[in-house]
Amino acid sequence: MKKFLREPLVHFLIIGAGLFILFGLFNNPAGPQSGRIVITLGQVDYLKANFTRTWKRSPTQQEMQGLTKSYVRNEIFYREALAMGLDQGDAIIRQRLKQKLEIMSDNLAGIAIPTDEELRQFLEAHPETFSSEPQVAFRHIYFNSDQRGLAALEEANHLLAELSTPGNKKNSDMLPGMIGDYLMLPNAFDLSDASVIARFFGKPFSLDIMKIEPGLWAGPIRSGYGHHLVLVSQKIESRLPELSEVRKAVEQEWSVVHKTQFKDNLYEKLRKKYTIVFEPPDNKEESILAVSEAKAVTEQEK
Amino acid sequence: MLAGEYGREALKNGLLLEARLGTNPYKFGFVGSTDSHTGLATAEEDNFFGKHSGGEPSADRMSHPFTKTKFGVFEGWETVASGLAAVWATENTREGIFDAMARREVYGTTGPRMMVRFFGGWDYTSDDLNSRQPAFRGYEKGVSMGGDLFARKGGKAPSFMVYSLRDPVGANLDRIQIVKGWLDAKNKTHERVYDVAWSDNRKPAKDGKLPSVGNTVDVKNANWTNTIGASELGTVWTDPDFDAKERAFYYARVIEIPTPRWIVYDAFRFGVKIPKEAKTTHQERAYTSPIWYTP
Repeated sequence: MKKFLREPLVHFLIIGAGLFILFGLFNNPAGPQSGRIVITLGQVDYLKANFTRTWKRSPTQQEMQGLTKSYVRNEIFYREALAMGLDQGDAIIRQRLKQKLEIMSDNLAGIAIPTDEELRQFLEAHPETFSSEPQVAFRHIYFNSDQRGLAALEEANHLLAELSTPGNKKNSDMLPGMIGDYLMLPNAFDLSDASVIARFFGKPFSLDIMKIEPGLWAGPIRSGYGHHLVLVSQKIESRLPELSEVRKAVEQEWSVVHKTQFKDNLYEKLRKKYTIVFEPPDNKEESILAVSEAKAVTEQEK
Repeated sequence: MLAGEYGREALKNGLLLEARLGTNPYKFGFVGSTDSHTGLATAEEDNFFGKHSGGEPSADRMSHPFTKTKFGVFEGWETVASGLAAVWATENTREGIFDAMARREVYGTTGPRMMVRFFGGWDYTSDDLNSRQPAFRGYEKGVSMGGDLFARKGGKAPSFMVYSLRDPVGANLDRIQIVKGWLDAKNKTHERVYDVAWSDNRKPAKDGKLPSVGNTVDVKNANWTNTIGASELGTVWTDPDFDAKERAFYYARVIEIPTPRWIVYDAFRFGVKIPKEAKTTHQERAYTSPIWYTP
């Protein structure tokens, strides 16, 4: 029974039946062919509410007359158009009806509330969507290749050796700004995403700096501008967050996937009610569709 | 020069209208954008995906007309891979970015991501520029791009601090120019372009013209080298022709060394010939929003 209740087709039929009953209750009891247009109090309220939503005030009596008049006019044209079959073979109307059915399917799918377990599984199955970016905080000393030429690398290495000698006089705390060349970028970066660092220094630099161990001056690493000695103070590797940290985003993504699946299932169920016939029998499209349908069936059976 | 085809013509007309009407309807900032109908941010030469789906990468897109009507033809190779909008926002939020646009603290580029700063004030010095944090001095002592300067006692000339760092993965810089437009006492508008900072220790010729930076583009291999130009340029410049009674605007233009246009990359990738009349190299650039001087 439970499984039966979870079937999309069952939902679909129940809602369809509901709409049918509602339609019967509220729509014109006289029916489209009768030549009678009955305006109920409910319809008057509806016209008023619509007007008020747009103009932020109630309609005057004169405006209400206008609204009613145009309602009647619309209703008559609508009925006559239907009677003439003008809804047939119209791409816009077809599209709109298909869309309404899809929206109905989406609304139905939206009723489902995923369990924590489902969300967790979804999160783990999509690390590329939810993983955090690697982050790094660092200071750097810049050696300008434009000005120093090939010596830039040598001089950077020289300073690194000096800084790495135990008991050296150069206090690394006062280094940035005192040694190295001027660059129109900050000497120190607080914890920043790798993509932000890439925007300032280029992507190779952002990849290289993630390989450096925190705590010691290291490098030199190359940017688009020259060579840099870097002191990484903090580094956070990319990781898959806990569900609690990204719950909202996971729910959103899950719901998108769920709605698509729901719609696909619905289509498969409905598709079974139909036989597709090609005319003439040697119609080229037949073989194309036959192949693709056969594929779909085998995939489903997997 | 075709009046009406240039942003600075509108800025000049703005000065004229302000003198006449008391308000300047053309007081706008500059940003760049793609005008693409592809939904893709592909403003660079080596990733240009066309202005619309008909111009997506293909062997013949450069030799195939982009549009052809009874009014004329735009050839495929004439379309331009550009541009970007740059914003100096206090924080990366909608509010922060919107506020920066409202105060015109923005600049446009033809595609590269060069960083450009432009400040106007009355007493910037080269020490300000050489301080490790010139932007702090910039805001302390004056206004940034998009801002206003008003007359000082004694008719002192304004000074401008301008500096730029090239795209971290892009081409070096050739020069920085300041474009000035002004309105004289007879309500005639004028403009002048000043070279204010340049690379490679070039010396201006007798007529004041700066020699060209050169060209390293290898069209056959769709390549160039940063062996000319500078990765950063900057200066403090004081207007030598300043007249305190004249309305004026100033904006900075940062120009890269020559690089290959997208058709050169296409020709390399598809192994096709570039149409004879097509330009193969160009100098990409950035334009800052103006700073206005009002007496």
